[in-house]
Formats: sequence, C-alpha cells, structure tokens
Amino acid sequence: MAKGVFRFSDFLKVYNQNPSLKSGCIVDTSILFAYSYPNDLFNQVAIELFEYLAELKIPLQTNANIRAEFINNYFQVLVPESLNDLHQMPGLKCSEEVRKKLASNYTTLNEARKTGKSYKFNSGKISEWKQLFRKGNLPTQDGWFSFCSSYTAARMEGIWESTCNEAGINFLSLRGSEAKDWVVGSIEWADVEKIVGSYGIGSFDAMIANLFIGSHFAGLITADMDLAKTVSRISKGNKFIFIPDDL
Amino acid sequence: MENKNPKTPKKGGGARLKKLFEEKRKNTNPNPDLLQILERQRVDEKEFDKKSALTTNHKNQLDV
Repeated sequence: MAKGVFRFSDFLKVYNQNPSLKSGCIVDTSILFAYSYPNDLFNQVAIELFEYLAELKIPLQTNANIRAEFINNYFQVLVPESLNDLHQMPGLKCSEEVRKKLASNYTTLNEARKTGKSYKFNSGKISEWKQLFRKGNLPTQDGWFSFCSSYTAARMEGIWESTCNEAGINFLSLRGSEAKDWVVGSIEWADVEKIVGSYGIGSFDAMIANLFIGSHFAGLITADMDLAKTVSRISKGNKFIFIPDDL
Repeated sequence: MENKNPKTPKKGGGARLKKLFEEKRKNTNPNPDLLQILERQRVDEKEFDKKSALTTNHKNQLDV
C-alpha cells in the first residue's frame, strides 16, 4: 500500500499490509488533546482508535515539545468552561458588566458545543477577562488569580501526566546516543524553518512533521488536516498518516 | 530514546479520563476572594451609576 493519508477506519487494512506500523506511531497534540478533552469534536473517535491500538499493542510516541502546546490548548478551553460554571452558580452577585459577558460566553460556548467544536479562548480574549476581573481590585487582591485558583488550577493539575499515562505515551529523545535508535538520518532545526516557510504551518506542527519524517516510524496519527497534508507532501517511502473519518 | 519495551495505550483509558474531567469539574468552586471581588465590583458599578445619574440630572437642570 502506498504512502498517504488514510482514515481511522482504514487503520486495520493498512496495518495488515504494513507490519512496520507495529513498531509504533507518532501522535501530535491535536489527537492527544482530542483523546483527553471530553468536549472535543474528535474525543469519541480518538478514544475508539486508542482502544484499538491498545488491543493491537501498538506503542505511541511523541516529543516532549508537544507538552507545551497541549497545556496551552487545555487552558484555552478551560477558561470559557470555568466562566460558564461561574455563570451558573446560584445567587452569584456580580456587576452588570460581568454578568453580560458571562451570558455572552454561555451563548457562544453552547453554540460551539452544538457544532461539536472546542471553544478556545485566544490570548486577546484571555486578556479581556484578566482586565475585567482585576477592575477595582484592592492592592492585596487579584481577581484574575482568584478566578484561576478557584477553577483552572485544580483542573489543569496533572492533566498531561494522566493523558500520557492512559495513552501509554513514549517520549522520543533527540540526544545523540538515544536518538540513534529511532532517527533515520538527522533531525535539524533548519528543516523546521524550511517546513514553516514552505508550507505555512505553525512551528509545533512543523516540529512533529520533521520528527516523523526523520524517524523510522511508519505511522502518524493526527486530527490536524494541515499537518496531514504537509507531511503527505514531504514524506517519502512507507509513511502513513491517519486522520479521523469526519475531518 | 526508543524503549525496547515501549508502553502501549491502556484499555479504558479514554473513559477514565472522561471521569477524571467530570470529577475535577464537580470539585471546583469559587473561592471567597473571588466572590468578594465580584461583589465589590457590583457595588462600585452601582455607585458609579448613581453618581453618573446625579451628574446628568444636575447638568440637565443647569441647561434648563
């Protein structure tokens, strides 16, 4: 079977014809996040695929760099979720300004859930809420820190570790003696620059693409179409990219 | 490093993560500091509105 992009439902067919997949697949942030976050559009399909991989005993590999992107994504969805919890608190006393914004967040979050998409706050939206919670604060208080310690602190704690533990993630080290076990050729930062510049994808995605292409692993699992298309374009030889059927 | 005996995904892992997510969500509540800050903002906003209304009234009277 030729290299290329395949749907999750084709995994077994591709696997049966390519025993090289048995040695492991690389996973990116999008699929780890989908597996870990129950309100993600691809949560259920990610769980089903990982159950399948557990049965086939296929190891999953990633790079420690993915952790930063995963943590960032998780915080970006937890803020609107937490604001919604605050909004639904019985007897909440707050200014009209905060109440209106909480109501607007509730509407947007529910609309996003109807379409199945994760509602993530960008940095601008987070700054907006920081300012709002800090409005009129006494010098000894910080409304934003109080919001975070109330809601996001406990929910963020250990989330990466729990996800990696359940998904059985193995970390690929780039250190010389350790890298020689899985690197084919070399993995260079210059190639990451080239991928970003030539294909217009983000640096995290470019790092994963570079890692996959430079490794002996035959499979990449992602819920990111941009990454799938880019890797498919660059990679040579027996490289298979798996994406959700509905992506 | 590629481990000679690499870990593989655990069966039922996704369901356990869902449960963990819900448990953590249930256990989060606003702390007293946050509630106090939100309440003060509400009082400040009312005071501000009252002052604004008075100023507008006063200005209207002067205009007449």
